[in-house]
Amino acid sequence: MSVSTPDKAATVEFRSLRREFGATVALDGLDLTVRPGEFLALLGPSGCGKTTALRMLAGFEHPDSGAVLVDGEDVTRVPAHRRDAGMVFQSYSLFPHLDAVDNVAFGLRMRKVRTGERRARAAELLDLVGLGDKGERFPHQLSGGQQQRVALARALALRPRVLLLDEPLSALDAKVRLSLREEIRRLQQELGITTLFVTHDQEEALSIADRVAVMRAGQLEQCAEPAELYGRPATAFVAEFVGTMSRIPGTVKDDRVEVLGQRLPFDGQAPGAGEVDVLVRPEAVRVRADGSGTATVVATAFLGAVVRVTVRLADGTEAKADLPAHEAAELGAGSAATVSLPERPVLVAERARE
Amino acid sequence: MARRLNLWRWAVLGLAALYFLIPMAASVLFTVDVPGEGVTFDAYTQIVSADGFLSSLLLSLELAVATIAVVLLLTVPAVVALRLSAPRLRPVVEIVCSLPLVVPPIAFVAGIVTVLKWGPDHLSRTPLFETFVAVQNPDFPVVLVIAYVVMALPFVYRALDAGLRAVDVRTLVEAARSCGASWPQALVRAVLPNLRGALLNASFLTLALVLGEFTVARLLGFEPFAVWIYDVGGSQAQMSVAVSVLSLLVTWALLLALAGAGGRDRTASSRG
Repeated sequence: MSVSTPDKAATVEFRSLRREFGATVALDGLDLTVRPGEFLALLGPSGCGKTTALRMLAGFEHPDSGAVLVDGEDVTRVPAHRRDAGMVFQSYSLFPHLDAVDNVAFGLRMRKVRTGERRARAAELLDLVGLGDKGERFPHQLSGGQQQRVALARALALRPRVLLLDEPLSALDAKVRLSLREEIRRLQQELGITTLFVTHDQEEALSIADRVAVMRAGQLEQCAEPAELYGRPATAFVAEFVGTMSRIPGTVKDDRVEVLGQRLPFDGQAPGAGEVDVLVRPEAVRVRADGSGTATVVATAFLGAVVRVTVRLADGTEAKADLPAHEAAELGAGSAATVSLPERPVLVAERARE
Repeated sequence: MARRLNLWRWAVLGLAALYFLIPMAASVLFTVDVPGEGVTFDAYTQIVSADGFLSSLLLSLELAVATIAVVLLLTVPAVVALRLSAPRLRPVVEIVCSLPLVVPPIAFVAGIVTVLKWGPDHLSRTPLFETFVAVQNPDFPVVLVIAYVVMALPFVYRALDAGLRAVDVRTLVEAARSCGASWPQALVRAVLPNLRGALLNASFLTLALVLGEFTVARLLGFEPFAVWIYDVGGSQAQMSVAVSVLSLLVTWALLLALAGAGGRDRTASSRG
């Protein structure tokens, strides 16, 4: 296909990036490598430095120390307009005085491409994002989703080596967000372009990225494929940030952890013998109606395929469990129940102080 | 309730219209109705042939164009830079730009006169002496442009500031930069077109200010349009009023022309 981009996708490396804004440390020694053609999501709570990292790659921020490398070449001092990185912004960033075609062709105009040629390429790119018939529209005549599509086409117009997406979906409503993120993924795979995607929405990150890098307080917490990140989180922070996690108190004794009356093996290092919290996903928690059980159902929420049941354990901690609808039928709020875990290794973390 | 409010609005509008229209209508009537001769447009035909009409009008227009160019070149980069990199300096710039409002023109011109007198005395042996002479060239008094730039600052700053408020300058610049535009290109191609309305407003205000300015020009001894009107009026009452009416029409025509030139592309300036 003629719109295809780089013959060879680029590698991006962040090397011990550090950046302070006054008293706050936005990046505290970030090391991260993005593989060629990879779709990498930068995920983290607000203020974790993910946007700062992206803006450093775009050339809008400069590190206090450290380096940004594209294909092994240090671009830390290269000005933004020579970075060869297409960017889609969080806020609507189309030029209000230009129609869709001219917006997409803006970069080509800056490169002094002839009028006919650049309009043809712009039209081609608009077709690619499914807006071939909206070329004459001005930004204020387009919906939010359409504006972001045009912005995407604009970012791809110069055949950049890297595509940067700074929470491009966060201003859109749920339905548009879903369809556009699938579209972004499709385009990215079609073009094979190295892509960085900043988001604070873990579902979004897990569903479209090849790998997800979870950041916290300016540092990389874990970078792994979605399934691994979800199934085997490296730290308690990742475990609780990605997906839903319940903490159930347990005790570590001889390489096993005692929890809910069961003795289970655990992954990784224990934070020390004695009192710990066992981290469990709701789909791994089993709840059975049991008149003599010590746990009490606090609430149930119907989520479609499953029912999320919140139970209060004997010691007062609350745990969440996802059950098939037919199993949850007899678990009304207030009924007694027994909670158990499957015989699989679990994740343990230091006891949370409350 | 709504109906009563509506009635009020019309009443106020009517009163305001009377307040403005009656004097204007009276002026027009005075100029065309000569006692004993009936309606005649002699006063107006005399103006056009009067000495200095065209030259003073042209001078005023030249001054206006120069002032608009200088004041925009000065303030536009300043306010954009202020927004992008030094938002904390905004109050300072705002106060500096508002200062001309509190200095009465008469005090301002007194200061200029002092400097113009002092300069040549002390600099007579330096090339700066020539500068002082050139600045006061009666064919194109640069000193008036300088004075008008200062006087227009408060209006221009406010107009631009209001315009910038409606535009996300940072995102526009960054979007342009990521599309391969250098700093100046980003400014000219991405930001300025979206400030069109604000630039027009600033130009309007400056144009109106320069065309109507009297004190400074008169006291420095130059004769742009406003001063010429005054000079003519001294000799012939009817003609001076005719000139006022005409100057009003000229100003309107110019403003309309400016609006027409700037407002051609309405789709671009109105954002939904």
